[in-house]
Amino acid sequence: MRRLLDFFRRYDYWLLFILLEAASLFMLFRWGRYQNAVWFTSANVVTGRLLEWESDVWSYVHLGTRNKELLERNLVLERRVEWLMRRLEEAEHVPSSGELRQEELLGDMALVHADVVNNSVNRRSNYFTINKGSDDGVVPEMGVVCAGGVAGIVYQTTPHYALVMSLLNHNSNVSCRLRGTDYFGFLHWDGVSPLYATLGDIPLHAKVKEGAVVETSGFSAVFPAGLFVGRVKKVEFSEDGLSYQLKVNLGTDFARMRDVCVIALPGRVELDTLRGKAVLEK
Amino acid sequence: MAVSFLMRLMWTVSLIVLQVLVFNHIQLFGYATPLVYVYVLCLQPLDTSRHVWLLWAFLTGVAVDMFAFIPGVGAGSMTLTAFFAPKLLQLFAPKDSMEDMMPGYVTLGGWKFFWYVTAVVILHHAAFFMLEAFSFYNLKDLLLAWSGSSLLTIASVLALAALRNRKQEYNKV
Repeated sequence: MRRLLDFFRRYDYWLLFILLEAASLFMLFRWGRYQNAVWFTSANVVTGRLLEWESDVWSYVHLGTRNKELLERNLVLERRVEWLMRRLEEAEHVPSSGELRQEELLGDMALVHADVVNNSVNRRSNYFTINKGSDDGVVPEMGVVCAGGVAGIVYQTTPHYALVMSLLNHNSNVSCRLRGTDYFGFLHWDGVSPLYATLGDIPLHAKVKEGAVVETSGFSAVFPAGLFVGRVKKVEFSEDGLSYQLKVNLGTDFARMRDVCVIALPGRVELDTLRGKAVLEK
Repeated sequence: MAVSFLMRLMWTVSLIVLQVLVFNHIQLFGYATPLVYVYVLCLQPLDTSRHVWLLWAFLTGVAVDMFAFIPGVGAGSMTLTAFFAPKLLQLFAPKDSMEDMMPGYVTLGGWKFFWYVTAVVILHHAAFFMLEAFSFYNLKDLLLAWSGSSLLTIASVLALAALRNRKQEYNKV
C-alpha cells in the first residue's frame, strides 16, 4: 500500500498529464467542429476585443486599396448613371414630325449611330468628332444627321473615330432646295451665328416665303433628298441682285448636339464613278 | 523568483499576442505557419516541477486555441511536448549547470540549444498537426505542413532567443 502511494506521489505528474490531455481532447471533440462554442470563440470578451483591434489595424493598413476600389466603383456607377439618364431621356422623348419624316426617309439606308465626342461652334471652321470610324464603315464624304436635321459631312476617319465637317464651316457647301418648289441652291455658313446659315442662288422668280422649309436636294451622293435642314428666317437679295439669299434658321442645335447618324447611301459608289468619268471626259 | 515568474508570464503573453496577431497570418506556400509560442517551453528553468511545466504549457495552448478557433489542438500538443521537454532539457544540459538554468545560447551552448529547440519544435508540431489532421488534412499535406512549419518555427524561435540573449547582455552592462 505504501509503495503504491509512493508510486503515485512520484508519478502524479502523469495523472496531471493525462488529465490535461483528456481536457484537450475533450475540447477538440466537443467544440472543435462547432462554430457555436460561443464562449470559446469570438464572443468571448477578451478574444473579441483583441480580434476587433486587429481588424481595425488591418482595415487601416488596407485603406489605400479600399479607397482606390471605391474610386473605381464610383467611376463605374457614375458612367452607369449617365448612361441610364440618357436612356431615360431617349425613352421620354416624343419624336417631332420632322424627326418622323427623317426616320421615314432614312429607313432603308445603312445608318451608323454615333456619339459626338468633341465639338466646336465658335470657330470659323467648325468640326466635330464622332466615336465611329472606318472600322464601323464610316468613310469620308458620308453625310451626318442628327435629330434636328442635317449636321455635317465626314471629313476624315481613323479606325474608331471620324472628324466631321459641321455645317458651321465656311468650307461647307450643301445642295439644298425649298420643300415643295424644287428650286435649289447652296447652303453656306457666314461664320457669325451658329443658329443661322445662308442659302444662296435661289432664282428671283421663285416664290419664297419666310418660314418655308429648306431640305436637302439629293443632288449629291452625300445626303438623300428631303432631309430637313432648317426654315427660312429672312429673304434677302444677293449682292449682285440676280438671286435671293435666304437666311436659314438651322434645325440642328450644334451647340448641344450629341447623338448623330452617319448615312451610307447605297448609290454612292456609282455616283462617284460617274462623276469621275465626267471629269475625265472634260 | 517572483521577478523571473513575472518575466516568464510577460513573455508568454507577448508570445501569444505575437502568435495571434502576426504569425497566424503567415502561411508560406499555403502550408507553413510558424507557431512561435512553443518558445515558452524554452523559458522554464531546469528545476521547474513537472506540474508547472504541464500547466504552463496547457494554459498557453488554450489561450492560442481561443484565437485560432481550433480548441484543444494547441493545448493537447503543448501538454504533450511539456511532458517530454524536461527530459530533453536534462539530456542537453551540461552536467555542471545550475539548478535554475534556463535554456539559451549561453547556458546550453549554441549547438545544444539548437538541437533542444529543434527536438521540442518537431515534437510539438507533429502532435499539433496530427491533432488538427483528425478532421482536416491528408497525409501529404500533413507532412508538408509539419516540416514547413517546423523549419519556420525553429528559425523564429532561434531569432527570438538571440534577441532575448542580446537584451540580457545589454542589461548586464
